Amino acid sequence: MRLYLDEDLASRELIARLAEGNHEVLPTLRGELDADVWAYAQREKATVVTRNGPDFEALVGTTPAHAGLLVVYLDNDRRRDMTFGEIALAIERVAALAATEIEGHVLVLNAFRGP
Amino acid sequence: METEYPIKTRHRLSADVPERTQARVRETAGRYYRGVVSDAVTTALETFQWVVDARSRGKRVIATDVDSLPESYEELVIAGLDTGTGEWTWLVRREHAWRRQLWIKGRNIAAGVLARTAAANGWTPEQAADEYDLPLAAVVEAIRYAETAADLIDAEEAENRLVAKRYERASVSG
Repeated sequence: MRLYLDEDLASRELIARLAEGNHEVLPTLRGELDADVWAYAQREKATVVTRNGPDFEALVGTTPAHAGLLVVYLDNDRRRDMTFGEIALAIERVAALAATEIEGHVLVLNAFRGP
Repeated sequence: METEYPIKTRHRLSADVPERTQARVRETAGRYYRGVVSDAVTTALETFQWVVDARSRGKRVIATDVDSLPESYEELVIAGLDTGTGEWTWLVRREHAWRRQLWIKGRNIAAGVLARTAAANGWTPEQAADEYDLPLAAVVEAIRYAETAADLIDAEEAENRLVAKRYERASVSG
């Protein structure tokens, strides 16, 4: 997959794990407005991965043909917060979906963490 | 008896603007002014007025690096932009549509989210600093702040989950 990681997900560990899975991760823009981040990702046809779903909700609504938005949230039980290893695995599972199931869709990575 | 009428302190003003301008104003309002468009527009006009006033006094309005500042200068203060908190060096307030917790200065990383991420991955502060290319002091502050603002951070994540779970249900049903 061609991915754009929002700034609070762009850790060296996650970038390295995704690279190992042969995913292309675009450089993360620092301190930029969400609208600019979103526009950049769409120009690059990259799926955005974020912890801040509400920030992109309105932007998704104005870009029906977007390249996909993957949301990951912190759990109400801290012991269930996804590690970067689990996030990378969840992205791997999403990548196995058909492109039509990703493009134009918002998917929640927590639902792809597996058993 | 004399009737007292409340003094109207805010007045409605409408203007036709290009779509791009409207989008930009709403984005600015969402990012810095809790989504309040009137605050964004008012501050933008005040900023413009500051520039006009300075120029009418024969001043030049320029941008320069901190290292190149002259001995004497006036500085524009824009309400709503990153503001220091006094107590913290590396954490700043930022007007955000739904988050009220502090942020790492100059980065789109909320302090509480950074602390939670470090904990979830079992990182030391040094590891977290390396992972995100941050000063160690910024990470240490974020962790300390997260302890003092735990209720606020939990409430914001609950709000975040509500939106995400809406999509989660849609994903499952779709």
